[in-house]
Amino acid sequence: MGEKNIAKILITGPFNAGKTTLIKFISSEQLLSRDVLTSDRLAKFKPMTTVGLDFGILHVNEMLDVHLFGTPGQARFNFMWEVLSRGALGTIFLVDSSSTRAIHEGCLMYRYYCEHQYYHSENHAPIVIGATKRDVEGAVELHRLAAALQVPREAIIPCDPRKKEDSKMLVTTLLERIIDQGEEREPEPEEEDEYDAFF
Amino acid sequence: MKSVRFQVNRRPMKSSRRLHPNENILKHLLVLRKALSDKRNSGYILYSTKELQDEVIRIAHGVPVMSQQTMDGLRALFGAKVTSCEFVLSHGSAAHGEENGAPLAVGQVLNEIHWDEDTLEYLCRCFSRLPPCTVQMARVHELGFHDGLTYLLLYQTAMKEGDRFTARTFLALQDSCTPLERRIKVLMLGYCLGLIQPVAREPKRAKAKRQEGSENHLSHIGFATMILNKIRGL
Repeated sequence: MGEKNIAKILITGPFNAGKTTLIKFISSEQLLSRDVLTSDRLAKFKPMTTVGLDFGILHVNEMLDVHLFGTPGQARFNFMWEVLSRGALGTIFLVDSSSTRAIHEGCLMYRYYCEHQYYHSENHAPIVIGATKRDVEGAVELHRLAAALQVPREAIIPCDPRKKEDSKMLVTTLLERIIDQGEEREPEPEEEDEYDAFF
Repeated sequence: MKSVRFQVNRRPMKSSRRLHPNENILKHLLVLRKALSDKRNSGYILYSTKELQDEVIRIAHGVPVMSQQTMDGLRALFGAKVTSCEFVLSHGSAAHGEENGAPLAVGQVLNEIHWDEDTLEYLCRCFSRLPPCTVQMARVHELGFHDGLTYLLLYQTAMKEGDRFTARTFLALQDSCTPLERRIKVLMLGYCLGLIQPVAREPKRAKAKRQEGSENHLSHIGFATMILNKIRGL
């Protein structure tokens, strides 16, 4: 039997957006999630937070496993994307839409992510943005969140990672984009030897 | 008379796309390009169209020989009417040295030619297949071609794009900039007269890396489809 293929999906976004929850719902087994007491100024927002990374595996079939990586939410861990996003099929970017602090941090992270993607990714893997905590009072309008992130309103998907169906919807949206993007991509020129054939 | 024939590669294209009956116009133009660039030898391009068999365009030391036959042949070639052609080299023929050359013939025929929409679309598709190339600056009016402005646009676009420039980029310009027919004419002129040259071949390593990226991309689509089916079933 051949070696099993591994595909990678990255779950990222600022602090307290629901990344760990999403991985929990999608994974067949959750191998690593280390929550510790929040030690910095963010402690008042969330008592426990992820250090290192979240990691879950979704067994697709005998040929393929999906590794789901969740990055830590604090901007100071941005550097981890560079490592984690290498070879990823795509990224789900979650933002807590009820917190102006999270949105601000999300803008910085998203900008960093786009620059990183542009300069380092060979495949320009797609990204899906999920706006979480829509049910919390004070959640900003989606068009305002879109303006802050400088993306079209349609690019943002309202969701609640605590609901399995919403988590599935985010992942399926990402996968559909990966497929669409692949189909839109121009095929490589067929070359017996293109230079010899034309010159 | 000793004749040496060279033909372009006649292996079938690998594309699964349905081909136009004259899909090989670039191959025919390549025969002309090679004949015009061969300044040492003389010979003739032997061609056939649907209506005519074994017509010739005579070329003496890289210059078309002045005659109605030559002009008709170039018109057939540029009009995408040729179904097969090859260049036949002639050695020891004294007659070629005495014939009048028509160095402006290619430019003059291209000045007058017009294509219908289907042919334009077909030519556009053919030229889009050219790999990255460079464009040499030339005073095209000295080559008998009137549309120097469009040639200049081609040159400028190629300069701007550098090594990434392909005919596809030039063909993708807006019609409001210059009509497609004029853009195709300058591409044809540049290609046949050797003013368009390929950029240096891609190093093998870079080529392998690009192909690997392409294969990875295809596997990504396959993986995504499998995962999608799994997630929908969760």
